[in-house]
Amino acid sequence: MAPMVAAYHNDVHGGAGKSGIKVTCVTCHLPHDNVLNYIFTKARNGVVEGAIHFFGNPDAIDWHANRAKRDHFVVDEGCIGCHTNYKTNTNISAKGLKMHAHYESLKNTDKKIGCASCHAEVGHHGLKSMLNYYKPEYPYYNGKLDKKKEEVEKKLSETLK
Amino acid sequence: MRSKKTLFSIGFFLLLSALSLIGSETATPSPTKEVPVSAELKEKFPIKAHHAKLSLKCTDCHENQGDNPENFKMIGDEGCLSCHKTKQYLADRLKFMDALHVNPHNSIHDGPKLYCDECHFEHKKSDNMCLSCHSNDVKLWMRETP
Repeated sequence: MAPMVAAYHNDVHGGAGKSGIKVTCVTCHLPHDNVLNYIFTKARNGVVEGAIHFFGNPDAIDWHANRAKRDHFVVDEGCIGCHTNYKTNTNISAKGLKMHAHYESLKNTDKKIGCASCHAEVGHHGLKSMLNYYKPEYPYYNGKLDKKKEEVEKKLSETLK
Repeated sequence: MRSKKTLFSIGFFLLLSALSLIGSETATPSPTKEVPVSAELKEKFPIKAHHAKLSLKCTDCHENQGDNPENFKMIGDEGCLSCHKTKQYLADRLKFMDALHVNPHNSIHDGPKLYCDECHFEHKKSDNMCLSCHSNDVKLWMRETP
């Protein structure tokens, strides 16, 4: 989980913004529609992740490929809970507002999209690079990004101190 | 006296609620006429899978260009960047490639300054310009150009 945590700390949602606000993991990654669903999902994730940790092989997980499923593990209510005015905020470009209206129009259809469909690295600034420092997508980079990884690890251990 | 006060506060509350409704109307999307996408049109102007997944419509990119696809013009860098932010932003997304000087969005030859359509095409197969010289290496450095 180190690359995800490191990328989170480099993001405005992880305290890197002007205000220093930090959004918790569960704000975006657990459902908030009702408290039972929240507890159930949290418990199920705990069991599954615990099982993979102790009986499976966490190193074999292809995090690069998993990013394609981001709509599944990022919950929009989490985003909208803070960004309440995403349809009207005048700081958003005209194109942005048009696309947010588009999002709204697909909401209750089989073509539904999520916030993370477009906002690909939201919450984890530079996630693609960070994942590559830890485990390159292409063998060509193997061993050549270790210095970068060391830098990240050093910064991370200072942040988490 | 007391009932008057209650009545007044209820009235005040109702007035506030009515006022709050005024601002709550959502912004209306631009009034461009939508182009119906027939199977024929889809074949003639196929779009990339990552854009199709978002159910993007013709006029989402071809803004203010009427409703006849035959007359649509290239949208240029400005059009792409209206969603994809800036060339520097795109270069930064591939920062890990900078370490080996193979970032296509920030190459040692051109920096983050190439035109989008030097490599990327929406309605036909993209063409990685790096390949014109580095024909054997590009497939080791990066995936096929989306």
